[in-house]
Amino acid sequence: MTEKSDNQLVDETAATFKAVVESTDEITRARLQAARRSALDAADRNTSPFRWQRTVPGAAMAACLVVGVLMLTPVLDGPDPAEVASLPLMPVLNEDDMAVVQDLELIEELAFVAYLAELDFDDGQVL
Amino acid sequence: MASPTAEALDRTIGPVLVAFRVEYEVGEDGLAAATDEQRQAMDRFLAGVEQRAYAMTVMSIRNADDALDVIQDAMITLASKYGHRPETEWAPLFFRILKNKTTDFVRRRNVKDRLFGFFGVRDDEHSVEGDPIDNLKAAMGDSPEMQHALSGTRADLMAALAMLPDRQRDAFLLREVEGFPVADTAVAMGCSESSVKTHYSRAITNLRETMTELMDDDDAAMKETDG
Repeated sequence: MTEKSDNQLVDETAATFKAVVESTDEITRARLQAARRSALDAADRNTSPFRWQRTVPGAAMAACLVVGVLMLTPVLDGPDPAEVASLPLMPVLNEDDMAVVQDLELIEELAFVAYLAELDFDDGQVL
Repeated sequence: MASPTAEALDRTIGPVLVAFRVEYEVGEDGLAAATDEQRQAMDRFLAGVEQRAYAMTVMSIRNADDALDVIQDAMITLASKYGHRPETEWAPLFFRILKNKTTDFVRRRNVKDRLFGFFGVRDDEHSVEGDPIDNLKAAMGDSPEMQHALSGTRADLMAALAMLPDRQRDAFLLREVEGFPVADTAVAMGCSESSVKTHYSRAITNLRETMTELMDDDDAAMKETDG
């Protein structure tokens, strides 16, 4: 070994490495080829000029989500305690409101009568 | 019949839309217009370099599956981020990316080994121990061609090469196997040109010393066998 020059050593080592690489078996070559194809497909997806078609809707949805959360925050926090304290304990109804309430009560009674009329008492069903 | 206002709007916006369309179809880096051609060129380049890069990575990582993952990551990065660069720049860029990813992987694995070692768990699947030649055969295939390529002195040469420190081995392989000039090797290794020369020189010195030791061991083993 000692009589070999540096150039010979370098050449033999490089040649051996190349020989090893060329002796790669078919399975390993196929795995490398599959890795390459997969990498190029992934790169195509990353560099596609149509990427914005996925990015823009995603960003818009994220923005809507943030705005929605910000808008709901006061609701989630509940009413202002000071505002609640200032409210009267019992609702005060004026005459118009009372008339509406009475109308609703009348409608409720009529609906109940109509419901009774549809029941078949002959089958022994009782309320 | 378009109104005068609409016609004025068309005259104003029309060139802008045309310019946008041209810019959009061509893309910033000419990617959209040159996708097929560029993809084929990238495919050819990677096909030409992948086996040598794989062998280099296996020597550093000493695990076939992990080396394949690292190679694929490097390919994705090159194609997606540097595909628009001139083809002449791809080779040094690819090896630079590969070296960085290999270093990252080895660091992560060392941290994981320390962590699992602390808890007494050993990750045998990704163990890096073993004979470098056996690792190489396991990764590249133990075919008759491989056995011939690694017979006699050549096995010692590959063992000596595999035992070199990573930086020295990289300098040697990039210079002698890839045929990179010193400047490209410096780009690929991420260091100065003088560092490349130093690593290369030390690689040859270490190769010679390791080869001498290995051949002495072989001679001693043969004498024992004869005796």
